[in-house]
Amino acid sequence: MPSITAQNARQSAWLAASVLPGIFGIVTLSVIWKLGMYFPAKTLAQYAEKVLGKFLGKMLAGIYVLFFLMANIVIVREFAEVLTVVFMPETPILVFAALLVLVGGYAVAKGLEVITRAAQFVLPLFLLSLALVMLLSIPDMELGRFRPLLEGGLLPIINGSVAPASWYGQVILIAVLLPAVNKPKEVFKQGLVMLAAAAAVFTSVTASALAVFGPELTGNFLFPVLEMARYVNAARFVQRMEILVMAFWVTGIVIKASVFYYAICLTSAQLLGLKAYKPLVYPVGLVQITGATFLFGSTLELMGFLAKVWSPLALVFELGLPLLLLMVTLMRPTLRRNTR
Amino acid sequence: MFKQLLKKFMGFGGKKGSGQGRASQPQEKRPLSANIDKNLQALRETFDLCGDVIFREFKLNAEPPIRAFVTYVGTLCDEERAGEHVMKALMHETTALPANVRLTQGSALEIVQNRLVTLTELNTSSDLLEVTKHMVNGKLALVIDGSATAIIAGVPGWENRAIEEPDSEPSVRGPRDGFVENLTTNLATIRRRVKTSRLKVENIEVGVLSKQTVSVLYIKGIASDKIVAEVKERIKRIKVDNIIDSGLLQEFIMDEEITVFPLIQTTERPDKTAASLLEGRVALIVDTTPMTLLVPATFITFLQAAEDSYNEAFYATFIRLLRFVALNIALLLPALYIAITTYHQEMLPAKLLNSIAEARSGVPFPAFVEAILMELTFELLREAGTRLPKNVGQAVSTVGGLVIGQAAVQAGVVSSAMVVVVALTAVASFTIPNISASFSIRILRFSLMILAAIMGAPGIMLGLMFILFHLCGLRSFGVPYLSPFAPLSPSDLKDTFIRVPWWAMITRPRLFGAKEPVRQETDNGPVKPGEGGGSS
Amino acid sequence: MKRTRRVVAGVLIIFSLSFLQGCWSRKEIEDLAVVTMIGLDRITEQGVDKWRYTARIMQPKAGQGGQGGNQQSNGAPQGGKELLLTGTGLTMQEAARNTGLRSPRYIFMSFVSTIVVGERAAREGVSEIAEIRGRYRDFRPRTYIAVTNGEAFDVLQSCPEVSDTLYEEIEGLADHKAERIGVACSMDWNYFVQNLLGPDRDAVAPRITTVQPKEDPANGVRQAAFLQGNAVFRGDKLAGWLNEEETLGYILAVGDLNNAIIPITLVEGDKRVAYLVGRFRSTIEPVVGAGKVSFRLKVKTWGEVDETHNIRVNDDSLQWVEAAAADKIRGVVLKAIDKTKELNADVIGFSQELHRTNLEAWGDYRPAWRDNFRKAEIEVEVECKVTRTGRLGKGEAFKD
Repeated sequence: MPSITAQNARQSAWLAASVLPGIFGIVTLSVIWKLGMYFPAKTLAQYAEKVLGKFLGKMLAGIYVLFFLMANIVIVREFAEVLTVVFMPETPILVFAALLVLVGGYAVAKGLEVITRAAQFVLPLFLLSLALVMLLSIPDMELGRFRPLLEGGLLPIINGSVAPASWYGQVILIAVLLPAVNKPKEVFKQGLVMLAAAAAVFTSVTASALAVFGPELTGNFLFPVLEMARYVNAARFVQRMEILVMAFWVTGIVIKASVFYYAICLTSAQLLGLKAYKPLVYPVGLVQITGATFLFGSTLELMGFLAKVWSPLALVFELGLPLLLLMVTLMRPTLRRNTR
Repeated sequence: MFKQLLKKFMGFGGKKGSGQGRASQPQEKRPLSANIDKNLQALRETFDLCGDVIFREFKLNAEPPIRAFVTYVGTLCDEERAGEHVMKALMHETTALPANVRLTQGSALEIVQNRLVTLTELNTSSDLLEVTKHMVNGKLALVIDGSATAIIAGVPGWENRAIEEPDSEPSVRGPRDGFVENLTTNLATIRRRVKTSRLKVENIEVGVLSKQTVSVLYIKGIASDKIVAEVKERIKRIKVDNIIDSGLLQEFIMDEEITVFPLIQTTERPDKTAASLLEGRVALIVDTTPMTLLVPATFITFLQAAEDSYNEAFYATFIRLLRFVALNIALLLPALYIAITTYHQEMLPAKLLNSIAEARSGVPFPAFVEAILMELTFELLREAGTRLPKNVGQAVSTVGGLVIGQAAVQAGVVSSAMVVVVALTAVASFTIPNISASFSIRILRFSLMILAAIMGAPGIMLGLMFILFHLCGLRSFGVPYLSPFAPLSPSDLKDTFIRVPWWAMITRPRLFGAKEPVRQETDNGPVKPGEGGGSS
Repeated sequence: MKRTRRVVAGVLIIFSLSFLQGCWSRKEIEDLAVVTMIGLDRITEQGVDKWRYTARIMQPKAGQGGQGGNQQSNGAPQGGKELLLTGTGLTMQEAARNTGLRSPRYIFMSFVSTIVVGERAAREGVSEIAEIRGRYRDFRPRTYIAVTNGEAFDVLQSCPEVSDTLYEEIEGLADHKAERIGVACSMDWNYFVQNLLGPDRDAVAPRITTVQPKEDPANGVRQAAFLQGNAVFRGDKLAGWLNEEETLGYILAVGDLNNAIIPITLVEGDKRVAYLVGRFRSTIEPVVGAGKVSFRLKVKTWGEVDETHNIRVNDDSLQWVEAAAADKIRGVVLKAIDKTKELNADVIGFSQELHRTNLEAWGDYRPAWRDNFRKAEIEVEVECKVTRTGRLGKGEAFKD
């Protein structure tokens, strides 16, 4: 991810990674939250039907199922891609994809509570490993590499912001998870904290990659954080940290994939009018495995798709459509009154 | 995923409530009769071919003499006490009765009960089956002619193991007594530690063929009512022949059908049991079992030894962190060895890589086979060491450790690096204080080794995530297994990997002691001379 | 329950599948040919220009570690732990493959500590080397780069003198030792390639040379390698060399070292003083005038006076030492700057500093930045401090 940003925004990538996408995330969050407040205890698919009518609502829900599905396919594929490219080139992508989906599917079958608890457990470890790599890279950082700031004006920054914005925009998941939250009123505040934390992590990761490798190399690397872990050399003894980074990155990806997986299952169950989503877990998993394995031919294809097609498209789903829903809701006062 | 397989083993398709199981035969009442011969006849029939049951007929010293008999399982009762307090009293001391009290067939029961038998544990029963039940529990039955009620007297007299230091949980600091096979002794050791009437002991009898007493212990007002009710409910649901050991009970009352993790804590230590009771947990003591069950259990309790509570806080914290490291070593080290030597060689420093390569160059097996071979050897040795008598067991460990380890390396079957890994794993797994937890670690270790052999470190991580999801889904009597980490409850972290000094343990664990959350006053901390109270 | 059965079946299929296929990326540790150093040369073989790829490979002793050790001590200790393989080919990839022709093991690149580039290869362009990371997934960005003034093949034939293996020795030198004593810069792949890719600076690399040690003929070392001097690149092509003095000037001009041990010898009349630089900082300040850019380089050093021949250590003499040292360092730095100007390569980073601090001026400067750098006036200010005199007392007063 820092790599795509650095290709566009070069030495100002850290800026591109934080400001605009952060604002985008906050806007998305507030739209989602507003909708959630109008329709308490309802998910995106459920209130879409209320707002747009049965047919259009179902269609929107269907589109969102596809969106979540695609998002998770991309996540699974990225996961398998990193592992095969960097660590185990001879292993087929199918194996990693299948195992990730299997573990994710197990979590989804166990329910959202299990996923969140596991996330609670894993998050500190994940952050700790990132922080460790960044701390150990400090001797190799050169702040001069950030300069000159804003070379080439704002346009590269805006271009570079698209990919991170689509990443921050994943707060759209809250639209699906909101009914499961104990205290929905507090979600907005916590969402802001979460966004700020995500922004801090993402910005510091991008910034430290830039400070170590400079804009050219950061843009060239597929996985700058990994290279950073490889570059670490503290006291000529603490080195070769990439496995550590990979290990905790795997845990993070598993959690992320499970949450998306859950969103797919829940939304499609509501689309189909099922009472429980459990019967969908395995078919959806199969679709994901197949999609992740066969949809993209190579790493370059995936990277190109991510940078050129997926990120802009994701912006539409994350902010565009919910905004539309909100506007329709505001324009139809009866709807508002009834659901309050 | 084993559920299906399990069903096959269960024999009859797992049809619940079909009522055909022989374990649920109904038991009607059989009242005693007033005729002593009939009663004698009935009891003799019941205990037909029971060589250890003693019947003794005699006459009460009265005018006219009243026929009576005592019967008991001779091996369970103290003959001397029975003779002293029952026989002697009935046959001789009737003369000491006040003159206005006349011993007749009609008043015999009342007089014997109130004035003659000098035992404190005395009951009556008018049901033959109940009398039988009391007798197999080591009670003496006294039947007097003319009354349809038997007097049941407790003169327990079987052999007991003396209280010893528990083998499975030894400690350096702290009490040395452990539970024994006797319920009353066990209850006594706990009562001596929790001296309050709020400590409740509810006895539930489990078993259809043979009834075994299960005591449910909890402190009223601290333990959650819901948990206590749930425990009792689950125990009452069990319909089996017999509970030989608390291990059987444990598997009947677990939350999850299939898991490798122990969802119920076992301990041999009364002090640990008492401490758990004070935290709001429930203890289950099964008669004839030295292993007490503690519920609800959380994962972290398996990494805590009783001694942690008695040692200095800093030291206890250090030891607990050490144990956590050991847990990770025991779980992961062989898997990591496989993953690193076959997939991620770039992780090793160059020199170490070279020396491992040197060590491995004579070994014909891949690292995975080598690791499995050595780990299995170790498990074999361990099992052999446990099952053999103590002195032979030592010989086995000598043979295993020295001869096989050294010889295997010299013969080129395994590399010396692998021996180091196995030894370290073994040592680490011994530091886990709870046996059942170390069992689950051993099982998971092998699964992770297989995953590591297939996919290296990503395989290990995916496996760990699977385990984590499983753990997060587990509950022990409604309490999340991974609490207080997930869900996080910061105030309960004070007694997990760290142990804060006792004066700082203000509250009980939130999830099972919430009814009376405050354990002690907040100003209990040590006071430096001159600062506190102005006493000097 | 039916679903459970299906899932169990699925899991079993996946697992058995993975077992059937074998474990794809599995390589036992003893099957690896761990490459520790690479040498890259351009050579002409039968009239065809080719790459020659030389690899030093770690060679584990056969048999068990403990027993093998005894046998090892009887044999020749030198070079016994490393193997040298070489191969040629039209492309680097082909050459690399040919290197491994005689080895049954997998070439493992994760432990390459130094890449040695031959002079001819360097003159023809090193962009291939910059791309080496893309070719080997296990290549590490912290791999040292050195250029030799002959053939890399020869350098890799050297024997280790101090360590067991050659790579340890060169790595130790390249990892700042050479820079600390001021004889060659320290350059790893990351810095090198950043300078190659960046629009505003040229790259340098340390020069690696060989020598026949004379000190101890008995230890059997025919040839040893060490770092001395710098290679200067223009673009991706070797432009020339900095000699020992110029290298020192370069290091002082660029550097930012805290643990240096660089002796500056000051001679005046019969006075002979060694000023030992322990720490130095340098800053570049671009001065933008009317259509003209000039630079001011400030070097500040802190050091101690170690050898004091024929002077008494007191405030006056220390002042003299500071002034003389500043003079001397200024001369050295100027020599380095002159040489880089002569080679038409901005390796010290003047243009980079301009780019970073003054975007406006950079716009005009950029199109012909090397020329502009050559034309720019560069002012060097040096300030030396003596922090310690290297003695406890006043020093012994010898009689005349």
